[in-house]
Amino acid sequence: MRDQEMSGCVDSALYVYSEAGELYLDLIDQNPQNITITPVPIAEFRLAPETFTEPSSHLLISAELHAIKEIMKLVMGRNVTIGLLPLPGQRMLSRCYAIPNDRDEMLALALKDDPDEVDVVFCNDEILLFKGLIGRVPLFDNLGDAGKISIIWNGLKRIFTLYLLPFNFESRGEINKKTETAASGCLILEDSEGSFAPDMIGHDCSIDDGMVSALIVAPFSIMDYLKLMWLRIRSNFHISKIETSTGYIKTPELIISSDKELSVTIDGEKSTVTPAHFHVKPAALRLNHGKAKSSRQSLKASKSEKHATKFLPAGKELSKAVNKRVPFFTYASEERFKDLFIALRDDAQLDATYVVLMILSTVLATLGLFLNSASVVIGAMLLAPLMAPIISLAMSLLRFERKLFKQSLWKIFVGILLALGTALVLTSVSPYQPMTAEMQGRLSPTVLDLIVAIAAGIAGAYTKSHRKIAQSLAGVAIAVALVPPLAVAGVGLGRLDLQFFGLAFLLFSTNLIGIVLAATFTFRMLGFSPVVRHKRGVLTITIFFLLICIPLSLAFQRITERTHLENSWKIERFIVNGKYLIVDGAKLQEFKDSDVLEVELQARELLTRYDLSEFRRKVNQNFGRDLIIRVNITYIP
Amino acid sequence: MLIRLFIVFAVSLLLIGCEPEEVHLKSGKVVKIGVIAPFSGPEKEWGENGILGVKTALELKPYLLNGDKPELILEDDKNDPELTLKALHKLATEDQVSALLIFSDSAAVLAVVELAEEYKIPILALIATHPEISSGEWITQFSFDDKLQGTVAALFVIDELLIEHVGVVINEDDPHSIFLADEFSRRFKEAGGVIERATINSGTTDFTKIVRGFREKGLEFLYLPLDANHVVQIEELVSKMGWNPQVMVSDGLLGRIRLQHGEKLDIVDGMLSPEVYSNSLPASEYGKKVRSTFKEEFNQIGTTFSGLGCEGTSVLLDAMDRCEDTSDRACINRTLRSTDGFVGLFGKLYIGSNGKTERPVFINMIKDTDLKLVIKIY
Repeated sequence: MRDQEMSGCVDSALYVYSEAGELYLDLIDQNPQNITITPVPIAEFRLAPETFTEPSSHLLISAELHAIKEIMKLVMGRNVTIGLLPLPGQRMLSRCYAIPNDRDEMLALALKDDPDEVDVVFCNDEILLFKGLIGRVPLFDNLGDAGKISIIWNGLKRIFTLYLLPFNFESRGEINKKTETAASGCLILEDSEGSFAPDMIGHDCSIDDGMVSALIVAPFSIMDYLKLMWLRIRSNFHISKIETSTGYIKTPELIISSDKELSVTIDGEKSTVTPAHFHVKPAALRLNHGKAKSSRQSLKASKSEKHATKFLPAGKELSKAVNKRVPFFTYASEERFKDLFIALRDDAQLDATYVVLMILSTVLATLGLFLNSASVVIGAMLLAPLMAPIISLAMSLLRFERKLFKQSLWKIFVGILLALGTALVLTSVSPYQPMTAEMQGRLSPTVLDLIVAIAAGIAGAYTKSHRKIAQSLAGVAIAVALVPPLAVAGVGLGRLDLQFFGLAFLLFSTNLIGIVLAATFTFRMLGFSPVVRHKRGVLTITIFFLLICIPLSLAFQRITERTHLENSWKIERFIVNGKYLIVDGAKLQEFKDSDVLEVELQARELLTRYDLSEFRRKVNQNFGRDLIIRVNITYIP
Repeated sequence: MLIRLFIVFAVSLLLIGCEPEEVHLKSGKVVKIGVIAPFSGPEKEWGENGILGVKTALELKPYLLNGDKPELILEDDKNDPELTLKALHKLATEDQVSALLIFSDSAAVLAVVELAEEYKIPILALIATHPEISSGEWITQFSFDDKLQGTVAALFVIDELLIEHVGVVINEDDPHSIFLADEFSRRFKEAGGVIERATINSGTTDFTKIVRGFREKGLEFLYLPLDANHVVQIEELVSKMGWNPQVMVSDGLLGRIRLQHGEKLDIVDGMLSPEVYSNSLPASEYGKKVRSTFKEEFNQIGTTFSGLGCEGTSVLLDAMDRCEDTSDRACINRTLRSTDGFVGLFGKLYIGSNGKTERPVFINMIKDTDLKLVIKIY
């Protein structure tokens, strides 16, 4: 019986305990394994550890964390094996080494003669068992199975107190690299099972990988932070899926420093300050832990070094980030979106393709307008190359890049001239110049036209910043708002009708600036703001906005009035000279300097000129304006 | 710097926006305005509710432009033509009022047409709709007249609802009812419709024969230019029979039922009613001021009576303002009859030299004690 119980256990052991560890004395004395265990108070052990330990001796330790670490330091290199008896409340210790909560099982594990070699991580010569913390790491420092409401509540509580601190990370190993950045905090992980951070790095850390892992959290903006919170709630992401806000370093030796003296919390206790020197002593201890052999052998943790810091603030971004409250919108240096900016500069260049496509699309649009054919006009939109310079203009306004601004503005200006000129020539040489519904629609813009322009601007900026999306789709949306009114304006010039030209060109200008502003705002939302915000750039955008507000507000007021009037006519009836007139619909249009009201009337009796004159008098009297009235009468049998 | 400029700009805009209110120097002179209305008797609610509207208008404009203060002198006529005559005589001769507002019905106003001509006193008849009341030179009709109302109702039914067979009930004791029914029938027949007429008198209480007769003829529309009491009785009977024809009543019915038969409001739900107002329309700036002042001062239900009282008083004060001598009856009458585009509660009003007010007629459906607009007729 005794042999059975003793199989797989050490022959004898030393129980080193603090005052709190006295609670296990009875268990030690009457241990079911009947192993000779000699209790030694920690104070005695500390005085002369060598007198108590001899090679191959086994220590059972039960004490406060700092005392355990002290004993570990004392026995390191003595070929001593260790079993741990965590005190009640030392949940992290139990979780880290998979030690059962049941006292008998805990003792059985501690007495096993099957220790594993584990690493010891030192931070400024202090042992780090599971995790260290510098600064604040919101969203990452709570439990992996925390409730969504708790994550949201705790996340939102910190939203307006987010600061980025200066950090320098220097990894030493096969990869020797220094990174100067700004972060809200940094989490150093040895084997911190149960918290969310290991989930995030794909459990790429363990007690025997010879590495120390650092997770760096640096939300660029509140928008980024919210995005991170959204990902955190979904809990199904990996660091490789996060494009901003976090960095990850895995190395045998890591030095973390800062311009400021930052306190370093090790295993939940404030222990030291920066600079913090983390280094790993591989296989420094032999320790009994409860992690299954099979899972240990297939641990996910790799032994390769990593230094993923490209999504952390760097270079010029640091001046914006360090020691400042996190801004609402994300910003970025040009280096971060190098490819995009190269593409935008290319887009702003005037080339032959642009000229040809612009002329062809206007030819198609003008013919479509003459033919009153929506499908031909749509064809013209597919060809129109206006999206590229407009999006470049939006970005140049946001980042106040003069060269890009000048190039894109010039390209747009040339496009406008080409379109107007083409439509003008076609109209001048055409013997057939009808006023079609497709044209009329562009002479009386509605609020919906403006909404189309804004949506197109947002779509344009969004697709430009996401390579996977086909940009031609947004290009068509932008062309919807620009090419037809531009062609109509050209037709107006061809007819030598400045009023016609002016109305269509106003719609074009409104839509153009609507698109540019929407795209600028979208780029800002998506985090393309410059690191250093130029006041002049902001001023330029503001002036543009104020300037466009004048025609916009005039147009909006007119559109609102018109819509109101047209809607009110749905319930209007007239009695003129005893004849009952039903208004079936009304449309208000501008012609030259006058308002033309086109009314669809239904009547039973024949209307005379006198009746229509009375009708006009009543309309002008009650609608407070001098309207030209055109009536289309349907007689009810 | 930009923020400062913006603040200065915003404050300047606010200061410009806060125009000083009109300030009138008080002249110390009082201009008397007489009000004849039924303040007692069966129709006392008309006068009681209407006078609140008049007071609201005076609250909004307590002094005329020249500083004269309008003062009201009230006379109760119980909506009885004889008493209306006496009240007019007293106000015109003893009280020497400059102008008069009358809240009584067409019969009462028709009774004073000759006397108004004799005394040459401008009168604004607020609710009377008989077309003959403005036949003289001194009585101005503020509501639309029954000729227009009958025409509108008939043409709406035949041209809009496309109903060609209609039942009409007439109270032969009520000239208002007779005129409306006749006008409706005339216009309806002219347009090709067929009318089934039934006659009652003020004392009729049993409508079974009439209603059953209409139902047997397969009618789906009833025109009831009757008083509130008769309309309620007929509708109760119709419902009891499980019949559901569309009903159109005459102007002001909802106001009268609200004031006099509050418990019967659900009975008139779904009826069509030509009115001078509608609850569905957005109020003008003047309308908004009236609404808030009325609510603040009286906290009572506003009806067509109070609306017409307020609007009519404002129009009269506006006419007085256009006279050098605000008590000059001839001038007031002249300016009153040349009111051009006065913005009332819901739109513009015009009064021509013929003494008729040109204003839209609203055909409403009574729904949940409100007047929901169906169409607006100019």
